Amino acid sequence: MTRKLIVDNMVCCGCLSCMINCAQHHDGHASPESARIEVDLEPFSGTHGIIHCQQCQPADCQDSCPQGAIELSDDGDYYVVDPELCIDCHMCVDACPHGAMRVNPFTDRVIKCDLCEGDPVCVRSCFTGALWVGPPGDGPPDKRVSRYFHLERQGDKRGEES
Amino acid sequence: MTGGWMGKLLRVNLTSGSLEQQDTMEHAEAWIGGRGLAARLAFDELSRGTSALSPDNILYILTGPLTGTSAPYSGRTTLCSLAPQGYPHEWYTRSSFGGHWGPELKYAGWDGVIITGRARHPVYLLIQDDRVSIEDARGLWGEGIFDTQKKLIKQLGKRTRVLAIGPSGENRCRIAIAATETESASGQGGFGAIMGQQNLKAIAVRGTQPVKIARPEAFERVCDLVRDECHASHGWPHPIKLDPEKVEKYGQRFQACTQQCHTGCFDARYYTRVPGVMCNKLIAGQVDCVAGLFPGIEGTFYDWKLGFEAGFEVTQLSNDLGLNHWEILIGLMPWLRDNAKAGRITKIDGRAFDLDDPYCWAALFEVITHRRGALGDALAEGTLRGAEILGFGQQELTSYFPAWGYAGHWDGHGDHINHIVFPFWLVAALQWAMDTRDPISSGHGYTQNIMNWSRVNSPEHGISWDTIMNIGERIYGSSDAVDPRSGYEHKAFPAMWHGHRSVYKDSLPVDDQIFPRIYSNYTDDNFSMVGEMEGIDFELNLLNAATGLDLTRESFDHFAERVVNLERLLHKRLHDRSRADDETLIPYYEKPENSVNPLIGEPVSLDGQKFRALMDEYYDLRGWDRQTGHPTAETIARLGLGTLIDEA
Repeated sequence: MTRKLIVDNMVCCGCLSCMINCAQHHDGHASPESARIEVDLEPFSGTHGIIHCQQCQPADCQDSCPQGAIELSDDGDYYVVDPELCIDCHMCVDACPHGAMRVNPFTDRVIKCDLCEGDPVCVRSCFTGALWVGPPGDGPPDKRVSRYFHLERQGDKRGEES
Repeated sequence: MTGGWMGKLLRVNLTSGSLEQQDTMEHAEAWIGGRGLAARLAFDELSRGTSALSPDNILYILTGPLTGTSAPYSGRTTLCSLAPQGYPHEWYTRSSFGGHWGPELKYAGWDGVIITGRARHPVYLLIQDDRVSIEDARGLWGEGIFDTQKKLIKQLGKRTRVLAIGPSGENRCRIAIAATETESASGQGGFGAIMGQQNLKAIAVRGTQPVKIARPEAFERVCDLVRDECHASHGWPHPIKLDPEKVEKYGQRFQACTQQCHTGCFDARYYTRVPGVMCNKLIAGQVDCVAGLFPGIEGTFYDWKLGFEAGFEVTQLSNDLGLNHWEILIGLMPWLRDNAKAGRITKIDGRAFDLDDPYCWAALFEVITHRRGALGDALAEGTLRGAEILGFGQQELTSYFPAWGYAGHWDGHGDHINHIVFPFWLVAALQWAMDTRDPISSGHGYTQNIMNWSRVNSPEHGISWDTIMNIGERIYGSSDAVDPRSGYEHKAFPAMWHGHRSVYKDSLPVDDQIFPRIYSNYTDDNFSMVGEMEGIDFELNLLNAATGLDLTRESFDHFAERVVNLERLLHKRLHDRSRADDETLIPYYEKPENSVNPLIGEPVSLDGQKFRALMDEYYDLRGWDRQTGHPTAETIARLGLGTLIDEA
């Protein structure tokens, strides 16, 4: 495995951008119900929890599948469910220790994070830098908060000016 | 295929208990949603002589096609109604809020809720997808906004989102808010009092349906581009950092006040644990925007000394009781302070008037919320009506309240926290003159943008005036519109242009701090542009991709113009709105400005005669009669509004 989705709950601002963009990217519509990532929103305590696929190796979801429908991608980054092989038994949903295998209520099929096959939309759309992709245990990229520190962002003209 | 809208509106009559469904699409393509759609409906439905706090008033709570989608900085809901806070008339107006409530309403399958009548006892409205019911809320009556939400969420499930009023709304305070979560409120307008009058404590929503998107690939691409361009809210290079000391001590963190929106607003922070000064417990909550003034800021006009902890506690108390922060901080408190200095007010509920004392603030909130004593009962009517009832402080009012019942905001005179200089507040004055509320909440685009992107408020990194003037020429047709050395010339056009942008923002609805995206740090000429898309077309492109409409810049502008004119015709019918009303703003502006334009070197006041000429120019641009300020017959015909007038 080379890369996985890493989260920092302390930086999550609870905007749900990752969830809605995830559903938009995979299903073409906006709905938290079919997102492959979930923000457990706690507006009255302010500390949200991000529930997401860890792409575990070995993976309980893969081991539990009686059909062998869950396979690691060629680059070793993520698992995918083969919809042709999946028989909707939901064993993987029960087996996942992270609560990250879900059933899409609109299709009744099992869904899971596939890192958007390379450029995860949740990371791209995160406003605060609470999500990033890197080797397991990797810390946040130096400029993960560049959306705030826009003077540090590449291509910023105004920073050069002064 | 169409997308964006869910296709139905929920109509509730609390007197009869009837629940009906209306097809959104009847008006959606022409009037979009939020403020635009509300104007179309209200024009047919609101009658002259109806008071804001009567069962005949109608509360329009409308989302728009972008609510609940992945459009960056969306997630909002707009309320429209006859406003209890409006003064001297209860003008029909609007007020929007964020949080996660509007998106949830969309997921439940509804574009909006329209409520009239009055329930026999306190109730709440429960919406769970297609299942809608009016439920008993007697057990919630008297509860604060926080506990009302927590109790309903505990009972109905974690994903339930709740819009609620506090005791101030129940007691029909004209400065009562309707709010969701910790700091997302429809504040200006006093719409919380309407819900109180309706005996409607809350609206609880849970939905499981998707919002369809007409052109998913195009939409995802536009969302990516918009998000990458709109990196920070105010444009000026303020570092948006957490304060390590406050992180350690109070659990400070970032928090989105609205779904799909984290602009990094200047002072928007969440605190997970702040020790109470008046109560012996840890308090959690959010502080956004004007609430940053509650602690007091040394060296400013708002220089009381509550300090952070007491200021935070007072903020959350106000949120829980449901009082309007803007009114309290920019209008009421400065006015009370003046009256205290003049010896007209010495005590609040038996406690010495002292703005450094949190108990004094708490006492004030309590007497207003519960209409206790002569002072509390009067100020529950809002500061302007309150002063009239109390019979003092009329002169001081004119320092803080430009018009229509609302305290100053980016106006250069009453609002002492946002620095704006001549000639830029001329545009704000026109915006104020033509509106029915504080116009800035969806109209920061001119005043705040220019002040913060220029070297006035960003001395180190601000854009040069030459650059700003080039951009001004491009979007307003003349560099005079933004020339810091200019006077009254070419100020009507930007007032109209930004008036239309307000309609976009209140109708889609989207965030006001971000849109319209005019200036940029990423282009050589500082004019916002990503790919082939100009920043000022972000809203249009999001709308088209989501809904499948093919609006052009011109037809989108035409939509906004129709809304502004229909609202104006409605104000005329309801309250005889005319030029004479618009001009009542002038004396307020004839006082010297608060901040001085360094290129002028001394404070400037409004020249009434020149401003009246500027108003002429504005009416001409709009196609409104110069004498009456009403849309002319030609304008009504050009905008295709004639049949609506005949039917109403």
